[in-house]
Amino acid sequence: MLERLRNAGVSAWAVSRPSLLAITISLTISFVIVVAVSEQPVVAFRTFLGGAFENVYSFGSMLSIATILILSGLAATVGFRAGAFNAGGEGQIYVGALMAVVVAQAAPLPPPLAITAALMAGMVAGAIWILVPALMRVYLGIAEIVTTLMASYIAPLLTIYLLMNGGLRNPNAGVPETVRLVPELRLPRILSPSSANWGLFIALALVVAYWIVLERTRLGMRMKLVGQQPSFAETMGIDNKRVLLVSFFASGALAGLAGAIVSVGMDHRFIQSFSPGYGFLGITVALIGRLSPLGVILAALLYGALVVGAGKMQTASDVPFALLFVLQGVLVFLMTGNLAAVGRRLFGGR
Amino acid sequence: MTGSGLPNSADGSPIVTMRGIVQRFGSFIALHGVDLDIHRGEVHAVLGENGAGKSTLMNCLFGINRPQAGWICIDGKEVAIESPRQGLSMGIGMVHQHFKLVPTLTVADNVFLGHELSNGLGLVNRREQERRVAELSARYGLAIDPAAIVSELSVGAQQRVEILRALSKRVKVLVLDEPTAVLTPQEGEMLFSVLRGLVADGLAVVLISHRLAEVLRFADRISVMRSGRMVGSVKPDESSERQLAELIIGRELASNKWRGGRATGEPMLEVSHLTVSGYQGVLAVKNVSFAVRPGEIVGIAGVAGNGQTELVEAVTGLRRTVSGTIAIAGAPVGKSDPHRIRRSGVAHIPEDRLGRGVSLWSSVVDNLVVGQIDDRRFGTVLLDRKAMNEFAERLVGKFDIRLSSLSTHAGRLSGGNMQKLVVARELDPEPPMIICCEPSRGLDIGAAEFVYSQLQEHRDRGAAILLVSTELPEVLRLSDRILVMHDGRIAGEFDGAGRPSPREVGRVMLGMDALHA
Repeated sequence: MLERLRNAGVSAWAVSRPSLLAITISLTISFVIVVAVSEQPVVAFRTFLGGAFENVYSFGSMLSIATILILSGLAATVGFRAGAFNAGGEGQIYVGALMAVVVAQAAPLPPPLAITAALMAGMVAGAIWILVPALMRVYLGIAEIVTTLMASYIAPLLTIYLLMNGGLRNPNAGVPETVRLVPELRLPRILSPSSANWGLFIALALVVAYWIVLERTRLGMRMKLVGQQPSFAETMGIDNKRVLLVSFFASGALAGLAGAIVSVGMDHRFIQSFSPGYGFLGITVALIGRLSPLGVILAALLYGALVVGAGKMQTASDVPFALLFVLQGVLVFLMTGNLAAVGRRLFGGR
Repeated sequence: MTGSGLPNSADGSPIVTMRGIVQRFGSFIALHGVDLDIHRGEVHAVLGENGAGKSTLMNCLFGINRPQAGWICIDGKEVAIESPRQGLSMGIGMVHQHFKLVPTLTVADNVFLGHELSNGLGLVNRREQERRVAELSARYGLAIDPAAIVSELSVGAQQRVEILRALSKRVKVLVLDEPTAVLTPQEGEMLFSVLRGLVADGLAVVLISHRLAEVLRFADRISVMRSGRMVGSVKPDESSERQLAELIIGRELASNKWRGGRATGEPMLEVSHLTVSGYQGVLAVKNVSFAVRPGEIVGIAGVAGNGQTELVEAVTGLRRTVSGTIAIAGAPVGKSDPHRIRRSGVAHIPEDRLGRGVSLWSSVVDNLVVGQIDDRRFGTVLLDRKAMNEFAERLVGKFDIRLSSLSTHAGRLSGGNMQKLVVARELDPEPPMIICCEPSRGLDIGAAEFVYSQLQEHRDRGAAILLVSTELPEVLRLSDRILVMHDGRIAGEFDGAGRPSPREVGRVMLGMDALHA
């Protein structure tokens, strides 16, 4: 399946068709469910789809979720491109988030530099968290999809351990979390009072940077060649191992940055189990976005909108938030299954 | 049905009759209407060079390919075989060259995989499976422990598991694809005595092979294929290795305007006592030594699968060596390092065009530029797309690569145009050393001539060229010196200027002569 994705890229339509088809089918299924379970299906479904656009606060909430998803989607994409399946974005987000708070609070720097240092620390932490799986894959051939996933189960536990035993916990808070960052150490907000923040611009800038690297640099060309056809890359004297390591680290660093932006831009502190699965959603976003830079942005915005819409739907109607999980399941199923083959079987022809 | 399909009392009716089988892959015709009869109680060998269509034909019988024309009869009934499962249910079993076993399971588990024997509770009955395997192996002399784990077995024993698996499904026809390629001579002997037992029991065995000696010794009937056609059917006692070789290779020889080069100076490539292992650790290259000097073309002739692939992969750094040394321009190449070898001026036109020669999913531009990607003319930090396109346009024109646009994926080109793309990329930087495998594969005569003249031009400007080809006429036509590889060794050496005859070289290729010269 990854082959098909990495190799995709004929016309914009051909690339986006499977995603659009999957989105249409999963929305249709959600609608059928809503009609079946709800007394006010029209209100519920309208809120689900349009809730994010009702007011500035909802719109900002959507953007703040999309910010994190863009980064974790980009993290998955960078890995996929060179043939590395980083299934552990979730763990890298946790270590990145905690490290960013620690550095922001400890660094004896003026605020703008401290914020920068915090974000960089998040990236470094994310890259370190993927180090062992990356080395094991590149030098021993051990499947990274398993090891990154395993590492991502360790991270939330390790961060909570450090939080409780490392003197980081805010003694006045009910839940385990750090003390809040002072206002100067936070990324500036946009669309107040929502939690949208300058992290969005950082994420968008990184998408552009990714596009430039992929399409306009030797490294990007090598990444694509290694991902598409390692035997060819090797024949052309490309160092597959090095390219693969670089994309592993870039992937880990981007996920770590996503965590850092949650801390410094959204929550302003590290909270136990803060992530609703940003790392795993990043894989979904990368797949729906078909590994294209613009696709990742659109997929992240779509998902952000549905998260906000689902929340509103829950209060405005009798349909629970869990509808989103149904939709997500159907989407992943359709994007990872061979949709094209199913279509051929159903409708014949090629 | 035609008369040929009717029972023939003298010979016994064939179990399998194939008539007029045509198989196309896109515009490439792999089989041009092939006929084949397989009789009960015989070992039927199918010979031919790689790409002659042997495996394609067998895949039609086994249900992996579906032919576009022709028909297949099994036991006198016309059948359409649409999947290997169906082929198997009709009694066709296949032992592939590369085994399809689950290494962590036992012998018996592998044999009954997919059709497990179950007990009253619906659970797998291991004891019954092992008993049946023991029974089968005793009956046909396939020595094996039913409870052994497959990954711990030797290659020969793994092959016996494959055979047992087919036998457990009560096949009538057993197809073996180059079964001895991975075996030691002793294991080969053992295999043939097992096959003898099978045909004595009424099975038919189809043996795909390129080892003439063993075919002559063990087959009851030999069919020869060339370029997708059946070109001859002979009885082993009425034939000879020479006759078979001529049938396989075909008589035609290119109008050979041989033109010699002048080797000068120190060797550009020096290989000494090189030993390399191939598939599943079997030694593929055994103690090979030779040198290529600037200004000469050294041709390596040989039947496919005699170690040429592994030799080239070792020299280009793509495969680890077991022992021996490789030196390029006098400097020894340590561990396998394709990057360093390429940077030291070694161009490589690989045999495996689709896997190594082109990046199927990249544009023609990227495919052409990647050979010299570090060159600053394509940009310093950012790539200069305009310069890349201009460069590609020039090469496309010079090498007459036919394409719809420069952004076309290389995978969409025809085989011939793909090869021109590879040749263009590799020869453009005027490398001091060129390693060129199967240069004309897939090319029409005009394009092949163009590649030949390019190779000669580069030789004349002083490049050292190692030409590896299974097309003997091509080797004879271009080489200043000819080395013949057989069974991983250099079995003979000829001076190109002496214009050796194809027959002379062919004998060494087939291992019929001991060390020549």
